[in-house]
Formats: sequence, C-alpha cells, structure tokens
Amino acid sequence: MLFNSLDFFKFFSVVFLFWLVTPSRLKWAILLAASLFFYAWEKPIYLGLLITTILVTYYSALKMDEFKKQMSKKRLFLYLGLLFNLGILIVFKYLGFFTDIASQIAGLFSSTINIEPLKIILPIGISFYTFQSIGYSLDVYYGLRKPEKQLGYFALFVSFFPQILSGPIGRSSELFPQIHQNQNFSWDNIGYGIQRFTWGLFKKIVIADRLDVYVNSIYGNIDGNQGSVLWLGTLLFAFQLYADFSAYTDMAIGVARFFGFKLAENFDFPFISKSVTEFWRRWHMSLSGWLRDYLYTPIQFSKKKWKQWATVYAIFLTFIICGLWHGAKFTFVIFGIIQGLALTYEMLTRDKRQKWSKTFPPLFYNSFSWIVTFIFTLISFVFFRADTTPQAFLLLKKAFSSFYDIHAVKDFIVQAGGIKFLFSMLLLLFFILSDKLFSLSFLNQSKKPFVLNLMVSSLIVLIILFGTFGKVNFIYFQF
Amino acid sequence: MEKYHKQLTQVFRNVFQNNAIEITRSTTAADIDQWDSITHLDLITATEESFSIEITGFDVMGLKNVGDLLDLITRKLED
Repeated sequence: MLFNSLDFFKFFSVVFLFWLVTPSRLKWAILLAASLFFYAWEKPIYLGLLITTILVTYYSALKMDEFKKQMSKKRLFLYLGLLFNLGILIVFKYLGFFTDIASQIAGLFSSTINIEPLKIILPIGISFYTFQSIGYSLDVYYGLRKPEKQLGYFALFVSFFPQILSGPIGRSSELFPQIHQNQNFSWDNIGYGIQRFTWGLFKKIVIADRLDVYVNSIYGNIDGNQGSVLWLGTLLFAFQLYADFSAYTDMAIGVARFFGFKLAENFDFPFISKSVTEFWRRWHMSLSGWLRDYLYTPIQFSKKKWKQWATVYAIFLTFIICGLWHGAKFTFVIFGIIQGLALTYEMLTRDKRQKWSKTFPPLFYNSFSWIVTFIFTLISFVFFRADTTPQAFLLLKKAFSSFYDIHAVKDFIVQAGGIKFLFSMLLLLFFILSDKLFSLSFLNQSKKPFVLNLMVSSLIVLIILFGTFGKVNFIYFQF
Repeated sequence: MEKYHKQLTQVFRNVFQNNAIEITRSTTAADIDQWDSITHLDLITATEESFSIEITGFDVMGLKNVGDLLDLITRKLED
C-alpha cells in the first residue's frame, strides 16, 4: 500500500478512529492488528513469514536471557535467531542471484548442464524488518537490553506499519520505551504528523515522480545519449533518489507521530557533505548506523591486532554487504566497493587532509572538497541506477568523453517537452533551495504555528497544482 | 574508581590529542568531536595498554557510554 494512495488514506482513517476510541492500555493491540493487515495487503502469504520471524526472534531472545551465565548456550540461541533472519533474507533475496551465477559458470564448462535461475518474488520490506530483528537479537546478546516478555509488544516492534516497508530501521532502545509507555491523543502530534506527511507527499509526487520520467528516458537509452545528457540524467537521479526516499521517511515519521511514536531520522542534507565519510553520516542514517554498530565494529574488533588494517578490512566488508543489501546485483557490489575505496582513502589521508585544510583558504578548500565529494557521489550512483554493469561502464565511458556536448542537452530538453521540462527543473530548484527551511522548520517546530500552517498550506497548493497522481512505487520498496 | 577515572581521562586526552577533554560517566561518542567509529579502535587499544587489560569485541559491543567503560575496566582489574 503506497502512502500516497487512496487505499492508504482509507486504511489510515479507519485505524486512527479505532485507535482513538480504544482505551490507552489496549491501543497497542489496534496498531498491531493494523500492522499485520497492512503487511498482508499485497501478498497475504508473506504474513506467515513475518509472523515466523517475530516468533523465532522473540523466543531466541528469551532463551538468551535464560542462559545468560552459560555463554555457549546463549550463543546457540543467538545463532538460532540470526540464522533464521539471515536465512530467509538469503533465500528470498539472494538465491536467485546465486543460482544465476551458478548457471553462468556451468554454461562456461558445458552446454548440457542447465541450471535454471530461481525466480522468487521478494517479500516487501524483508531487508528492513530482518535487520531490525537482528539488531534486537544482538542487543539482547550483548546485554544492552532485557528481552521483551510481552509477545504483542514485541510483534508491534517488528511489524509497526509506518516503518515496516522501508524503515527507518528502528532500534530496540528507541522503540520499546515508546511501546511500553501508553501513547495518547495529542493535537501537537497531529499537527506535527500532518506537516511531515505533507512535506513528504510534496517531495514524492511533485519532485521525485516528475524526475522519474526524465531519468528513465535517459537511462533507458544510454547508447543513444551523449555524455552531457548522461551527466544530466545522473544528476537528476541523485535528486530523485534523495527526494523519493526522504519523502517516504517523512511520511513514515509523520504517520507514526499521529499515534505518538517518534521514529528515527534518516537524512541530514546528504548533498552538502564535504567528504564521503560525512556523506554516510547524513545518508540513510538508520541503515548506516545499524551497519556501524552491528557489522563494522564487530568485524573491526575481531581483527584488532591488525591495527589500522582492521579498519580498512571492516570498511570493505561492511560496504560490500551494504551494496548487496540494496539488491542481488553486481552493480550494487561495485557501488559498495567504490564507497569502500573512498572511505579508505579518507581514513588513510586523515592527518594530511587536516594539514591541507589549514594551508588553503577555507572557502577554497571547502568548495573543492564539496565538489569532489558530490561528483564522486554521482559516479557511485551510476552503479546504483544502471540496470547492468556493462551499461554502467558504458555510461561512464561516454560521460568522460562527450561531456561537453551542450547541443545534445538542448535536443534532450526539446524532446522532453521544452517548457514543461524547464518548469520541472524550476520546481526542483525550489526544492533544493527550500529543503533546509522546510525540513528544519517542521523538525524543530522552530517557527510560529501560523507560519508552519502557511508552509503546509502552500505545499498543499503545490501538490494539487503540480503533483503527478500516477502510481510510481517508492524506489526503496524494491530493497 | 576515582583513580581509574583520572587515568582514563588521560587516555582520552592522548588519543584525541586534546588536553581540554573532560569525561563523565554519561559522556558518549556524540560529545567528543574526534571520537568516531574509526578512532574508537585507537581509544580501546590505548585503554587496554594503559590499564594492562584485554578488551574483547563482545565487551566493546556492550558499551553505551564512558560509565560502561569504567565499569568494564573495574571488572577486568578486580577479577
């Protein structure tokens, strides 16, 4: 169910009414029932998978606590939870990828062996809720928290509908206290929820979905486009991806706030980053924080004796897995590797760069760092967006040979509708310039109520006038 | 405890090359600029050397703040 669909509005209205009239100590049950219904909406069969995940993770955590003095048994139950969560992720997400590689290798040796690549439909949200469950298991294992004893509360932690499809990936330390503390109706929460939801809806249907058309047309014809147009396509894709995913996050945060829940933030203006390290502190923060705590740090400390090479090793392993998390494709592996390269470079030149930053005038050094980081981000996004690896390399080859062909850009604009395209660019420019103002005003409630109302009203006008009311899926739903 | 606190403060100052750093039990990585996922390894290694203890990956994962680190040091030294 898309947040920007009529079905969702109907669903949400019913759930909210039920939630309102239910006594506060039972409100969690309404949210749980709604969440299970929401998840079953597209493919009822996968509800079984979600419920099994909930039960296995719940049970293994209780057992870990029971055996907290017997390390070997405790570890056994950790592995049970991890194996199940990683197992379903691998089966549903990567088995097709592995059988595909196997069939290609078999094809190299003999034409008679025929391995059919498996085609399995990816259960929506699986990458998000398995990661959230794994994080919980590890928190209990490391003794950071007691296991949740009430099964209903735990089920709500895993399945809470605003975040189950695409995050933000929640932490047990943030969500459980909120689930335990009975939430009540508050006008402040409604106001905040409406602001964040409207801002998200604007970014999704006025910005991201408009850009979708142009990006598809450029990336759909890499052969026929000049490097300059391919740069334009990649630039537009970067803003599409940011607008789309941060829109989803805003809507998720807004919807959750109606019920009193505060979800984690996911974005902190990633495109102003002046280094790749900084970029990962600002981009998809709930995932990068998860990877840092549950993957990178354990790997790094497991090779502690290697000193700084432990860090390099941990960076590469983490980012290859980060790439693969996005999808079972080689393009995502390459995306992970080049992020790893950049982060390693930044780690090894840390002291040197600190010196440079003092030698050059700050304005020059900062602008230079920003430009290099942004161009790097665009190049890495080529692997994020391109359908295949050869396509990505072809695009880059052209991007570095015919980037000066301004006439091709002119032709593209005419083809894309001339004034209509330029108007979309005007809307994009408005978004880029006003992103900070809107995001921060809503986030910090830093303006007077009537100013906030005015901002929401003007967004609604823009949505009605310029929204694309089709059905374009959120990009992150496929992960 | 007080003694460990003083010694740990010195470890922090050496690792982050900043003599103005003061730590309390509730200090976290968010409070100190240079303390991030890369320098965390240096900090833990320096703590191990200074107190002559061994800190495992499992120990590290259970740390939420400086207070937890102090408790860990106390536990390791008194075991």
